Amino acid sequence: MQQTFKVFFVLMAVTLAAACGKAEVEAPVVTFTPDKDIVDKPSGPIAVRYRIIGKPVVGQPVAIELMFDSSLRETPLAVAYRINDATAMRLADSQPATITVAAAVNDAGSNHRVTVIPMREGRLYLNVSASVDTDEGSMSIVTAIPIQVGNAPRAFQENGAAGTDENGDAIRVLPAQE
Amino acid sequence: MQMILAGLRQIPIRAIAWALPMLALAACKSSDSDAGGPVTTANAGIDQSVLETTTVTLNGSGTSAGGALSYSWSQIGGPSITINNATSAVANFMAPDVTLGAPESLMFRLSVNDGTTPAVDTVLITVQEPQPVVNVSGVVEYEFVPALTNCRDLDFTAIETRPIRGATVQLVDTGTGNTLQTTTAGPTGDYAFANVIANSMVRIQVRAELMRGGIPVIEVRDNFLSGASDSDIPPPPAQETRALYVLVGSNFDTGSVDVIRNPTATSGWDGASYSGTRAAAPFSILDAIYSGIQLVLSADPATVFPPMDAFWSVNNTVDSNFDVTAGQLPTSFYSSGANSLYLLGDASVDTEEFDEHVIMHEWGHYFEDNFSRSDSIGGPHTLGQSLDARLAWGEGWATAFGAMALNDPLYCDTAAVGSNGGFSLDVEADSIGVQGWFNEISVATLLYDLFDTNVDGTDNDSIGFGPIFDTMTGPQRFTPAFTTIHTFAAELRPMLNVNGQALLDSQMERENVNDPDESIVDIWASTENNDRNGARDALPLYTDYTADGSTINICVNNDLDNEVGGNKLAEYRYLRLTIPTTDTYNVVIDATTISTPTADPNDRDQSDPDMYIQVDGQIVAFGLGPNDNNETFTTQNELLTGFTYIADIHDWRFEDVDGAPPGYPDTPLGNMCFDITFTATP
Repeated sequence: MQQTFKVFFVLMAVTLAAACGKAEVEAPVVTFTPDKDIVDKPSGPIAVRYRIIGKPVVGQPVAIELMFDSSLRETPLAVAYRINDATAMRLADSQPATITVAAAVNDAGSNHRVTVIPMREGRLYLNVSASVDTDEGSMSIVTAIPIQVGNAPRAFQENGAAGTDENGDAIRVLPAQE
Repeated sequence: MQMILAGLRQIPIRAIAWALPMLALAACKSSDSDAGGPVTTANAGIDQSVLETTTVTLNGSGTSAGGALSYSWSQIGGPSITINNATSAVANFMAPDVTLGAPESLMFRLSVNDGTTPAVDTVLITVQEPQPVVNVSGVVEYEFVPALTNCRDLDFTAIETRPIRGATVQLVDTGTGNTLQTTTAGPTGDYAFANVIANSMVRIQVRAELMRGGIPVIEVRDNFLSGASDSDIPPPPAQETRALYVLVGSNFDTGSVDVIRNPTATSGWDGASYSGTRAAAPFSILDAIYSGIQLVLSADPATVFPPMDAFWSVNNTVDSNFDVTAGQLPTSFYSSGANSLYLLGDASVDTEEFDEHVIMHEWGHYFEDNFSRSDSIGGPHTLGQSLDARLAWGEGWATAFGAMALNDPLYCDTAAVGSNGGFSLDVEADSIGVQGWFNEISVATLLYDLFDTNVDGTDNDSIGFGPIFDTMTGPQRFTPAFTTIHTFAAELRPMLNVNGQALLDSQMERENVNDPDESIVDIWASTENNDRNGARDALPLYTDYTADGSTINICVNNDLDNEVGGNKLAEYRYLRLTIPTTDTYNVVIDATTISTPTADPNDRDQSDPDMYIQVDGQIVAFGLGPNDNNETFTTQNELLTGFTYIADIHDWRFEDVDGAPPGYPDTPLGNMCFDITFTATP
């Protein structure tokens, strides 16, 4: 069952048109717009899924369950954990920054757990890099895992300045170099 | 009188001083008789403002009260000039040379005589020196940051300047903010504005938009609104009204000689990080799409592009809590509902502005959605996976289209800046996973090899883009089957000559599509034997069923779906329906493989079959009920005999809307089978 979906019915009347003495019939249709109209960009040959265990709290270890699924099953994965803002979060002392995930058996994925310690509130990110060597070279995908700690909002950046054009329409002004 | 006053704005006071009595005289002109009979009249024409040293025509006329008319022009004010044809109704003179900023006013009188009562009229001619003008021209450019050769990061040591092709360029008056002139940047980013008033303050602006026929067909906008959310009440401003990116140059004085201005949108990179405005990003996105538009126009120059927005922000990050306004995206994607692209820009997570192939991949979805037909079910997919045939087709098409448009087979997707993350896919050479109709790489490689002119094994010819375009916009759009590589190949094949057909067959063979005899491919994949190494329920793609009350048993499975996306091979099965009687139908789907319920009442541990029915790409009925192990519905429309309807059957429990990892009770792996019965309603 689609949990949420938008359905717009346009019950079109059957159109009858005489053509060479034979009636042509157009099948009635339902104009249907499912909410699942999003087409993602291709991910690399490795899929990473995750689940954060429990509610993250400043100073307390947070465990994150990871599942790696590689299309190159016979090849082990090199996994690295990276935190961009070292003042916001760190890996737990016992947590290695890199691990090797053995080649998967058959079509099953591999499950692992990583532990981080938030050092302040906010929306913090753990980047999980998974790399695999192929005949054509190495491929690496990076999955950003957002970890919401407390209620502090995510930090935002300004890029250019808000403004309006002569018609009053919103624009974002980007300065040119000349 | 309005014209006179307008002309007076630039006339010196001394000229006005003598002109006013003349104007008063003009107001009293005419010699109308009170008797009501024919009268003699004179008309010296309307006042004029003319340029110096040009021939000025005095266009007079008159009416007679009886006798023959005679005309006489004379000058009654201003620098003396010679009137040619002074005794004709239409005379002329050469305007005198005047000083810039000091126009001269010349007053002329026309006398008309018919031998009875003469009539007179006057006309004011203002002579000015033309405003000095200059030309303003140059090129508009942006900084493009290429990827490292392995695509595992951007190479900021190799930044190159590229033209902003096709964007709207404006000349703006800095005092008023008004646009004085607008043009479109050429293929080299070139632009030119002629006759710009000298010694005026202006600036150059470049709007991140591509116009065709006066309509913006592509606009790059900022979806992010600080502190706002999609769920706000009242809702935030509509996405299509969000801020358009505009590159704004410095104010400058046009001076007295031609000016060259080359505004450049810079990357914002300072050698170590993004510390400046990332102005190049929207224009890099725009320029990638420009390439796609050019490829389409090469096949059909009259193509009309439905307007589309590309949304990008430095705050667009990866977040499962989907909120466009807050910059939280699942990843970069195309939305058919919004007909828009949404692209990541958070430098610490993932940026797309210089990943041209990612942008073009998503624009390829736009093309398919607007000019052809997409039956793709979407959802997550990683390279090399075995996908639902519709998804594999759509993704393979989009990747191949990007490679064609960019004339570069290396798909490159870099990750967070400085993360050493990213991957490449050589569409022409790489192979990941099991090849076949279910593999997006196989589809992409097949399509690209049909297009490209490189000799690569059996890929020793090219059909070009034309037949591909014609198939996509023609028969593929209306094919009775779901859109897959089989429909495309079957519809393309008759368009090709012998050599083209041989190339198509050889590339299908190389990608293991329609194995073993590629030459007899049909839209239903009737002769397809590639079952992905014996994967259960992979074939046949279509099962024939006559809606006569009989029951058919169909199975699905998610054996190949560890990420629980619900969109992999065998998670959907297709039916080809024969409708014996035009009627609405009761459809009953009963699970015949019933799971044992877990203790958790919230687990989705039971089957939940769903079905869509469509004809010629249009959905005509569906059953999406919530019941466990059963779906019962009546078609929302009559199904008409003589039409080919198709349906897909799916188990909703294969989709993981909760984002729970595999191995948890609510997302069991396995297969489900269903008894399906269509019965005409009484």
